[in-house]
Amino acid sequence: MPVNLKDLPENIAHAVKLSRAFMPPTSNATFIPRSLDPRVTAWAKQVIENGRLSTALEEIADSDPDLAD
Amino acid sequence: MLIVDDQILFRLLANQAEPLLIQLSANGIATTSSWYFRLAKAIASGRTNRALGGLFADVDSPTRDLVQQSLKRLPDEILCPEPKAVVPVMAEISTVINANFINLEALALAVLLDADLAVSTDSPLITNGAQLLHLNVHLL
Repeated sequence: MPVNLKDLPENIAHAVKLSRAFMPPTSNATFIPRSLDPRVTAWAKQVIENGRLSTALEEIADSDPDLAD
Repeated sequence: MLIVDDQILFRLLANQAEPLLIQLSANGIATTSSWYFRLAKAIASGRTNRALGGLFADVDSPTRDLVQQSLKRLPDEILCPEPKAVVPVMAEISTVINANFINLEALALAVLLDADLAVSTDSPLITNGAQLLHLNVHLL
């Protein structure tokens, strides 16, 4: 859940902004949790890939009015 | 993004993630230096009478090898930001929330990464701090 910095005490929000500016970029790779049950692992891959795919589709729709619902 | 404690990190590294954990992890996983250290220390010590050591003792030999290798070099996909980024936020949070180092680090990391927290034991320090900082905590 995105943290709204305006909801935080000012000193904390300020520290967060500074730290975020200096943090290295996060990896794009997603750790795929595995389970002892290979079916659950396969499901996990699907959840993660579908999550990424739906986000990508939303971004495309947002940038192109012709694609919006 | 989900920040996991030491016990949950173990479950992830040992390929013992349950469906809810997998679902919550879909947007990425991170852990704190403290939790990473606590897990690595417990396993390095070989003590099986403690919670983390007990988890390790309960899995088979190949899984123990897998966990040990993963702890020596945490997978790149599991974020563990360095103290330079986290400590300034911890310091400011400590002015409004009375919590120990481990919990402050977890709360600070959650705020920094816009993440939820996943813990294996109920901790009022974490829960109360999370509430003040508008963070979600999952007890798994």
